Amino acid sequence: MENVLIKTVDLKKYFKTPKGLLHAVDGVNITVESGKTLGVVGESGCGKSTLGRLVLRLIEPTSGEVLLKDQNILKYNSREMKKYRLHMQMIFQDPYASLNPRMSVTDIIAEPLIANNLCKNQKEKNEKVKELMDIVGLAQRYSNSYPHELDGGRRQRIGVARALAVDPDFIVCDEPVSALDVSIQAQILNLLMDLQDQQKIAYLFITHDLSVVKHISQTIVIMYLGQCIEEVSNKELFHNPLHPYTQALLSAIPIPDLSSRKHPRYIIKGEVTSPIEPEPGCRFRTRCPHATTSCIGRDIPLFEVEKNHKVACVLFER
Amino acid sequence: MSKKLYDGLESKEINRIKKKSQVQFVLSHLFKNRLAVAGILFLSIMIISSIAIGFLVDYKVIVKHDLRNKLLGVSARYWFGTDGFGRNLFYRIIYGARISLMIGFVSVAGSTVLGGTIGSIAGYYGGKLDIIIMRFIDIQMAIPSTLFAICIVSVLGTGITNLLLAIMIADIPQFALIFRSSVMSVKNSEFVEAARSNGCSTYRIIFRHILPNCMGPIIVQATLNLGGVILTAASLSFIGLGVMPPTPEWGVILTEGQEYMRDFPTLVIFPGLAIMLTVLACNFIGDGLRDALDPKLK
Amino acid sequence: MNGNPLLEIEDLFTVYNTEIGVVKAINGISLQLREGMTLGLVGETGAGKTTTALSIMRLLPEKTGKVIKGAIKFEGKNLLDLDEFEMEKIRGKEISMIFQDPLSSLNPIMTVADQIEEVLMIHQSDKKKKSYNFLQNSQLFLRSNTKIERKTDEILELVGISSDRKREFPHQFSGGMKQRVSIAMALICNPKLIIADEPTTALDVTIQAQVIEIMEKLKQQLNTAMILITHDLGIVASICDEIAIMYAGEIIEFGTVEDIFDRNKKHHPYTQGLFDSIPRLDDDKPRLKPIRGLMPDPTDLPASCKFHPRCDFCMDICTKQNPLPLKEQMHMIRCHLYSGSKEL
Ligand SMILES: Nc1ncnc2c1ncn2[C@@H]1O[C@H](COP(=O)(O)OP(=O)(O)OP(=O)(O)O)[C@@H](O)[C@H]1O
Ligand SMILES: Nc1ncnc2c1ncn2[C@@H]1O[C@H](COP(=O)(O)OP(=O)(O)OP(=O)(O)O)[C@@H](O)[C@H]1O
Ligand SMILES: [Mg+2]
Ligand SMILES: [Mg+2]
Repeated sequence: MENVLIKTVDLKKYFKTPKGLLHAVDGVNITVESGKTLGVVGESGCGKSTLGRLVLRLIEPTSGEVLLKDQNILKYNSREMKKYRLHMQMIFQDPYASLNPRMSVTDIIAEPLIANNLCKNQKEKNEKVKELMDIVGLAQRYSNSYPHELDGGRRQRIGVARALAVDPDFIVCDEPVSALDVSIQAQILNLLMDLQDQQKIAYLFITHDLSVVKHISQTIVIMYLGQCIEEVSNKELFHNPLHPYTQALLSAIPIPDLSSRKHPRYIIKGEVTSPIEPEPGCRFRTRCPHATTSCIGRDIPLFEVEKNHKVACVLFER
Repeated sequence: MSKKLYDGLESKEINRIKKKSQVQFVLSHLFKNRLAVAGILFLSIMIISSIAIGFLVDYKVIVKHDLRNKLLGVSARYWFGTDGFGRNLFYRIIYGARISLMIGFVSVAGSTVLGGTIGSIAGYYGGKLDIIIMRFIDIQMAIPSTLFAICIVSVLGTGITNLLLAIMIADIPQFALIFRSSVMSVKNSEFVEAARSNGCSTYRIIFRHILPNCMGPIIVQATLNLGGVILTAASLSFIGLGVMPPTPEWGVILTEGQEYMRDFPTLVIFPGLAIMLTVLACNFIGDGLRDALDPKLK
Repeated sequence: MNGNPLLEIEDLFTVYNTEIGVVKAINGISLQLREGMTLGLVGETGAGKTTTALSIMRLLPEKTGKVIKGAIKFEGKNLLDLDEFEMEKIRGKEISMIFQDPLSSLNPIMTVADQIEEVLMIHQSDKKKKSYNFLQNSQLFLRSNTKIERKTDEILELVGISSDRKREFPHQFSGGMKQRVSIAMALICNPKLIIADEPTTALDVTIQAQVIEIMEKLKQQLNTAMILITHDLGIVASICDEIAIMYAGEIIEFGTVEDIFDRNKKHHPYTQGLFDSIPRLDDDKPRLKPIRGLMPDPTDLPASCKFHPRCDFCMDICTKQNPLPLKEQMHMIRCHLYSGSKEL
């Protein structure tokens, strides 16, 4: 772990809701190495996007630290923060909502350049935009189009180009391909992997699709209701998943052939724990087939079971 | 760095599509709407002729009494006849357009800017600031805006400037509300978040990313209000709280004509028509803009 | 095979008239959907899937979108002949649609519960043949307030959202939760036909499984038919009965799931490409294999086979003639590769 780029320490974010505090992210520790990809997988609403936003400080955490090369970025003031943003960018989940409908493709891609005064004049800006469009494979003829005229795949390319504009070291990808169809999805994933090879960019890759995460990331973190419940290398996850939730997740993947029609779909039974002021204890216990009394009453930390494999479950506690 | 990564057809495509800008696009749709075109034509004629009359006719002629020629009917010399003081009614109405339209444009622009600032701040920052601002606006909204304008004029005194101020202040809450709700529905969108992650300043986010996306309803509201404001100005002048005679303002002309209404109805019909047609024109343009700015068209 | 035909689409052509030209979004598709069946509509972005759905719902953008030819028969009635008032009665009650973009189908300044209750109220007052009398409606509202609230809670729990959270606004929900809310809104009225436009793209597999189970239950209990628009072939494999694969506004392959997923049968090269580009769990190669190139410009479609510029098996004839459909029972393919033989 000599190459640590981003590290979070006990990061928490609670939202106020009418019914009480909602624990969206609750004590998460993750590490992203430079030039590598960390996959974050979890149920819808478990706090993946919130984690991504916290790491970029788009929202302020309730407590905890975000370290960029050992500097706590939460202590930065807004001017220092602006400098820091040049190192980190985000690609958004929804290629429809994440592009300003009133701006042309050129304007959208140039926005980070202008906001950070990175280009001296119009000509330089246009050249840079052209170069970026080339990199992500967008034809020049779209440079004056507006986003609503393009399809999902091309829009997501604009999002990638915008993120690349400031030469970042780190990109948070929030489900960048889940709204795209398989062949476009494959194109975008290949593009992201090629960029990583060439420019040594690190990714925090958020997704709910395990087959996507398998292709792109070296290490994978599984989240459940705001907590990190398993951290494991890519290979291990698919050969030896430990946490009962991870196992459920793996077995629920719909397989694109007919064998899945014969045996019944695996559905996790039981009540979902509310993320609003949850009691201490394992948050999966209400749906867990192995739940015992020892799951209640205290928060279960992550244990290192093997090298590069941590899990938060009493079954593996020594 | 600039090595092409993508192995597609994309680059072979030729640049053959010539695109219209969004402004051109909206205008081309606006011009397809007949009523809106009629409105635009009418307003343009009004504006041009009211400016031209300033060069062609001496202002003294417009206000000077000429009792020998009073209450003449429609003729080649006096297109709309003359009023009770023998002045050319046509000149007065055209010249009046200057004042009415000036009041309309300036006060709508003023209330858009002021209301917009207040509303955008409330909508963007939210929280306590929003609550405080909104309570003040609620209070003002509880008073009908014409009544409110009357109160202000009675406090400040009559005259064009005060009338303008009164109408402007009375319209601020409407615009503040529209700006606030538009800003609120746009500010949580992902592209605003993207702008923040790109390092845009708050100022840039509001002016470059949020406001352009709320312009539709605001432009529409402004055009519709333009008609309302002209009407309010005329009615305030009519009851003697706005522009004072002999300045040829439409409300003033109406008041002056009122005395002779029974025998010489043209004295109220012509200024009445001028007001009605102008308000109608503004509404047609507003409706046309509403359709043209509808994002579903694109 | 059960059921009478519920929906029949005959030779449908839909275009968008835009500034840059006429976008030919649908170019002659014919489909049949029987009661209780689920049809999967699969295809790349821009293939015209959403446009097909919008044509059925008659919700094409008013000024630009237009059906220029064809018929859409729902229970024998041609939907294209109905007036707007009759269509309103069908929308939401007989046919309901789950929209692709959950953000734009929810109102940002209304709480989630209010939006669901609104749908319930409109539906309920209609079922009792009450006119839209404001007073009556409000009385009804007072009387059945608690019932509506219970129903709202129930439906939210059904899609896995705790009812504690119903008083929140859409932006306070995560992407997947918004999608689930719009699914809930489409399900509450027990329609005869559900058109689901990519309903599960933002959902993780466990919740996807739940949502699919709800839909299947509905299908069994109420004999609801469904058109499922998706690009997830895994979901298609698990719940669809029939599959139509679309490319550039045409159906280029149609068949039962068994036909399409049987890799030993003949397939359209595009279908083949789709299967190849799925990231697979049982395969360790990191690089994926997309179909090369992109969809042709919809304002300027080739008159011949629309897929030929991207096809690995492109022959001379492909650039000249549009292939005719070849049929073997349910299975249909449009491709010159197989046009040598009379049948598949
Ligand atoms: N601004 C906010 N106010 C209140 N609650 C919020 C806000 N943003 C997110 N939440 C809540 O925090 C939790 C986590 O949300 P988040 O968007 O991080 O989920 P996610 O893991 O990205 O889910 P998905 O896969 O569906 O996108 C959810 O319960 C959500 O409702
Ligand atoms: N409002 C519109 N105006 C003009 N063209 C449109 C409009 N909506 C869709 N199109 C065009 O019609 C074609 C079909 O679009 P459609 O939305 O039906 O595709 P889709 O199969 O649903 O794709 P996706 O998977 O991206 O949702 C595309 O080429 C698209 O660009
Ligand atoms: Mg998310
Ligand atoms: Mg679609």
